[in-house]
Amino acid sequence: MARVVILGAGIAGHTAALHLRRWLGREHEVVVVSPNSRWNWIPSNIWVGVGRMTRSQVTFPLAPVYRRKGIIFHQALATTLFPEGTADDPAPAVEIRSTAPDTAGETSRLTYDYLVNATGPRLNFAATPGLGPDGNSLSVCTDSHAEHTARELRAVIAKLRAGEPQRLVIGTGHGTCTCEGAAFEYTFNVEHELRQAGVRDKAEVIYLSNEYELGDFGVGGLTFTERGFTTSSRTWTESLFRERDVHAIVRAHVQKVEPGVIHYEQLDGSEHELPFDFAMLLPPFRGADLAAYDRDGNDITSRMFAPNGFLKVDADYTPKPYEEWSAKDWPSTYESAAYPNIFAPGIAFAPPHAISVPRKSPNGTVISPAPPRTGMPAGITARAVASTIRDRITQGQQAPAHRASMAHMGAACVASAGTGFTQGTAAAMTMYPVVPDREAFPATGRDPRGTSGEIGLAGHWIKAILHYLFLYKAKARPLWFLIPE
Amino acid sequence: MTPKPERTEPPMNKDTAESIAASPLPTSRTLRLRRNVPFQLLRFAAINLRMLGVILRGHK
Repeated sequence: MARVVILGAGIAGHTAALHLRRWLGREHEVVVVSPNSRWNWIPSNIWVGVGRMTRSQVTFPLAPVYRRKGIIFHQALATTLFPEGTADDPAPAVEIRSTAPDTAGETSRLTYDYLVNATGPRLNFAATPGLGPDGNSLSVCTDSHAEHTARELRAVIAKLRAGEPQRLVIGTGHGTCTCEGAAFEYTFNVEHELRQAGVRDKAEVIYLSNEYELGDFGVGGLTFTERGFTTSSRTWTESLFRERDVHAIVRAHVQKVEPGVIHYEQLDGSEHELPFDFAMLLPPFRGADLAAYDRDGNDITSRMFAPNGFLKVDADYTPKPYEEWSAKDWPSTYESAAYPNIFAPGIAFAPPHAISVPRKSPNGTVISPAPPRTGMPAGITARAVASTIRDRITQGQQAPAHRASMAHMGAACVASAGTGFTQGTAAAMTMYPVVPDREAFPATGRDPRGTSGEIGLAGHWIKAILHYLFLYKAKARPLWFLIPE
Repeated sequence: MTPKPERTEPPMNKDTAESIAASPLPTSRTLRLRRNVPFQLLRFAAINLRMLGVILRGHK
């Protein structure tokens, strides 16, 4: 009998758990540890944030799904790893602290044969003073944040209807944020709602971002062919900003958010204040901050984890200048560099470096996007990790690892720019690979045949269908596994 | 309660603002086509095929 413990029940953790349960016999245990009792289809939170969906439409309780599938579920937060066991018990273990209402705060240890760290991101609002719903800005990172933000947006629309001009600022709340795509989506969904409400003329919408230029999206931008011309995601994005009269401030690191004022520094070192009436600013991410100890009780956290809390895996972490970055630096098996029975798919692995060009202001402030690992890459890497664990349990330790490098993986992204069956719009983008490979594709780092972008109603339909499709899959309904990650 | 600061012109990046102002503006025909249901049904099929290609390549 083998026990696989999966930390986290987001896209990566839930995907790994469902596949492992499907593949492994009942003599093996699949255990999921997640502090959240509900699964959340995060890409649709932007629609909760504009009041077009409710929280219950983007979440569902995990326990009934896991009960039906035979997966053991602990509603708890993983706090400490003992990958070599302890002096008393040599079995590798993880310490967890319950977050379930009836047992909150109780700690226990789970031994494991394989551990999947799919803890995703910790929303690091603390990196910027005053950032976040507990401070002076709003968020759509969780369904509860998004619901709160929708209420605030309704209040702004009411003021606009009363003739009071409003400034809405949407973007990234720190120089090292990722998920610029989500900020872009929320910007244009808000702009769409303002038009639908008939108050657009009194509202000023500003996109505030750490990207060097519009269309970077943390992946260094895209180059694709359109009507016989090579064009860039920058031109394409700027065109949308012009069409929808949205202003942009880029190369910005938010230093602090005071009530009604954003303070930010730009890449040239200049500092500015931006008064606002409504501000939705995404936080930077960091890892789950698990501690780790060896058998003798020595702290090995820094051996296993990068300083940002993400798990070090089979990547090349040698510091090197941008010109020497290579697609080969990126991990493909997501095995821990220190312990081969520990894996980190999705956001939980430490990337070797960014994808966008790294930049610092004269004051030494890093102002460039961190690399995205959400959505499709999270699902694909989780499936690869689950396949490796399945093979090692059923065929033995010598079974080779399955590989899924982001440098050999494409991604399809649909960025909503407004909802509605006939009035909606979305930017449908594909890229291959996610991490540019300048050896394979010297011109731009990506295959022009696999890289594309298109704006229209069709993109909105795709985004809406993906919402229902992935909720169906996550609920493990019949034939769920036929839906690709 | 902290008094609200006086509203000022936000300090936009001049080059970004100029670049946005110079970017291609879709014609009314293009905007109509982006919302035209029969045309978008065709685009829906085309985008799905393109995405399927990328997804299958990623699952190899």
